[in-house]
Amino acid sequence: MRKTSTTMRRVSTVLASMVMVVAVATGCTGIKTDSGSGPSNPGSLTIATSFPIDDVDPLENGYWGPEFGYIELLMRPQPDGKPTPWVLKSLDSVNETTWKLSLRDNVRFTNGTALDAAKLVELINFANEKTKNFSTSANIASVTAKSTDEVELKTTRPVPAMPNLLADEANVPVFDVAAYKKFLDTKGKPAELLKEGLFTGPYEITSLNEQGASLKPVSNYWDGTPALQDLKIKFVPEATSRVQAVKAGEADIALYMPTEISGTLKDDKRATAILGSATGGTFAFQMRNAGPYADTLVRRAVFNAIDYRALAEQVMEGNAQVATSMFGPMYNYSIDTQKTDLDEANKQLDQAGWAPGPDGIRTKDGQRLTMRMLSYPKQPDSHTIAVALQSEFKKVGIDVQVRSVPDLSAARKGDDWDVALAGASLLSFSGSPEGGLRSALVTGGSQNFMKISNAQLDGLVDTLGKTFDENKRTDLLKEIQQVIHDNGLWGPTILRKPVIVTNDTWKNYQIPIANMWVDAKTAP
Amino acid sequence: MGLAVGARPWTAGRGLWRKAVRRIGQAAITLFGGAVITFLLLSATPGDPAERILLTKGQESATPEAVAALRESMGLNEPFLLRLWQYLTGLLRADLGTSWSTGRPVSEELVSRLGATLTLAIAALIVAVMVSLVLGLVAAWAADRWPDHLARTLSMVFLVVPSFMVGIVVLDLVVVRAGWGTVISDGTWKTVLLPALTLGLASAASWSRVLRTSLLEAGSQTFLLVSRARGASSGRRMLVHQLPNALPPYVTIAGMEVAVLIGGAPIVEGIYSWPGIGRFTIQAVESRDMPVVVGYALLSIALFVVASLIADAINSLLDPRIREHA
Repeated sequence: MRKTSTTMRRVSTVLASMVMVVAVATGCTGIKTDSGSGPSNPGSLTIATSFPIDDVDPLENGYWGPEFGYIELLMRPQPDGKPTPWVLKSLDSVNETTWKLSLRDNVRFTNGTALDAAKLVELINFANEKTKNFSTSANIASVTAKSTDEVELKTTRPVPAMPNLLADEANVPVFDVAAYKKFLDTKGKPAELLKEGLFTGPYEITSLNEQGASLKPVSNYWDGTPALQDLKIKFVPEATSRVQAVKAGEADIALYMPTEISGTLKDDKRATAILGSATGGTFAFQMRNAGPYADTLVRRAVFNAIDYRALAEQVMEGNAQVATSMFGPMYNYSIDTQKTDLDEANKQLDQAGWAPGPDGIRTKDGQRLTMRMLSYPKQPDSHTIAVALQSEFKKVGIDVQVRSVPDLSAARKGDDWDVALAGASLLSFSGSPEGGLRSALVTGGSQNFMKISNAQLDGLVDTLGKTFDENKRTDLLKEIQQVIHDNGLWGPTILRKPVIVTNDTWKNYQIPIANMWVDAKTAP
Repeated sequence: MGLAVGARPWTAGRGLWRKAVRRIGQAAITLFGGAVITFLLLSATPGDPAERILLTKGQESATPEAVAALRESMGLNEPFLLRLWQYLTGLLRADLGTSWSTGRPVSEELVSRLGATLTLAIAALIVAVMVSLVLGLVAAWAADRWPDHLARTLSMVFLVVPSFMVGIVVLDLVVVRAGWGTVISDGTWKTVLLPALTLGLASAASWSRVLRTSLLEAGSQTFLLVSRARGASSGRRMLVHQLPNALPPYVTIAGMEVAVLIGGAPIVEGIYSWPGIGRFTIQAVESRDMPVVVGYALLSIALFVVASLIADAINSLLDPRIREHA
């Protein structure tokens, strides 16, 4: 007995020593590390986001800059889809193919160089050369400096959406092209671009690695002193971990939250879920123009059979807005197109020759009315909505087979699907409907997976692309929506609301338009 | 000592070398097979790699001309066998291809994250060894008594609860509620304990069960009767006689799982934002970055093969019978 206890004491001593070794080796003394500091100080902001920023190369990763305040754009996106001048003082349409761009007189890159007309010409030419989407949409014929602060931009055809194109983060991020080119000539690594001071934003990245970025305010920023003394971005891929980072005081704001988070945080005092307004993002109901769904009556019946209110308020538990229109009610050209009418749906299916079978599923010439519906795990809500639609469509006699696919883009290129539920919008990043309509719904459009071809719609979208007059554009957009609706070409199932989580200090944070999370005035 | 009866030392030495060379040869064949399979997987991936790279670089729709040009520059139009040859010879130069997401060499991407992953793996290994030794020894020493039941229940819990759930619970209880440690790890020793615990406990569970069984089996051997007759305590018998005899199966399973630990444990790295290979691979899976996924698979195979070799070598050192019969 005595020997046994002696042995156990020895074993205990050995094990205790091992624990000590690990504790010392790992430095885990129970004290919170630096990552816990920062939040709750009104002068600092720490954001946890899911997407890492690899480097500050404006060509490859420039689109992150306007979101986190270190890069600016020529025009600023607005909630109504009508951008306002940002780095530009004004943007004026001289005639249908000529624009006058006027610069503010005190904008400088962080490296000290002034942004003058020559620099702007260089920037637009560089974007036109390197950014395919911009060059195909902007149709630039020439860019000329007219004075030190004025540039004339001529296009080969009317481009009424120019303000939106210049407000799109993927098109013309403002940076010092000459310094960037010089850097490329020296073949420096993209990570070293941090030291080049290429941008004009209120904040400057001082360090960037796989874990996150640290930013400091720019002392001579053109629009006054930035509100924050310290800005940090942390890259946290797991949504649950981002919320816990807020709860643990390691972050002030967690971005890109799943909608259901608002329910789980209802009684939690450490974190608050904030729902933004729907700004045009939807779960789109993309119906392939083939098989039974090539029939306009069937397509219209399908849209009539969707219970839009139930999807938003019950299925999504109020975390989405009811889809009454294609673009959302905040746009003055929006018309109410999405209405639930089961009687009408049944009548249209009857007219199309689809009669209810013994099990309730409709048939025509011995063929059952089935629908192969795609969802995808990267957007979990798409599967939730698909399952809900499965039961809704059964009421009108459509047999839905839901299939979750890992890559929706690849799946939509094939033929074995009828409907895809895609997180998509007909609006561009800056709120312009032209690009989305042209790519998704015009014959031969790059994103026209549904193989839609409607001559009337093609003509209207083409006319919209040349029309400057606001009233005429509004009328055209209303007519376009009516054509889309009448032919059952496209529709939203819900209007998505962005969700973020904040701590108490930042609970009044307003979710900005177009993911512009930080600007010079951002403060609690 | 440890030599086959009647064998001369130099003959035995040659035999051991032959065995070692044969074992390394087998490992090389396994690696080659793994490389061919991963290449086949890469080739069978749906979609055009050239188009995917262009889309990843921000082009809304890649034109057929751009896709064709990139296919040509990537050598995708070459015959299958030539591409396989180029892939295999590239591997010899540590060329795993180019990431579709970042446009950088996969080997560079993996190597830049290897340090963080090794830190986590070493810490998790220490946790796994410590916990499994404690649980295994306690369970065997007090077989069928309450400490045994407790140790087995604990190991069962660690085994059946998925690591992502353990991670989330640990973060909630330890970091959020108790205010100890951090949710967002920085990839250094400062923040390694919680992810290492999460990762190590799952391994410890299976290792401890193997150890307990081996210890009990060793305890039934006749040589222990002699030890007992000479008055050795149960603790001494356990640590001095049973444990060395029970170690080979333990080392074998630990060797295999070490490869998993070094492979990055993607789920745990994701939950703790650990900047290692595993988290990077999860992002690659989400963006369908197949060269990275395949590179990760190949690295895992290589690690598994190397870890198995090391485990075999350790077992040979621990147990003369294995040296003789290997």
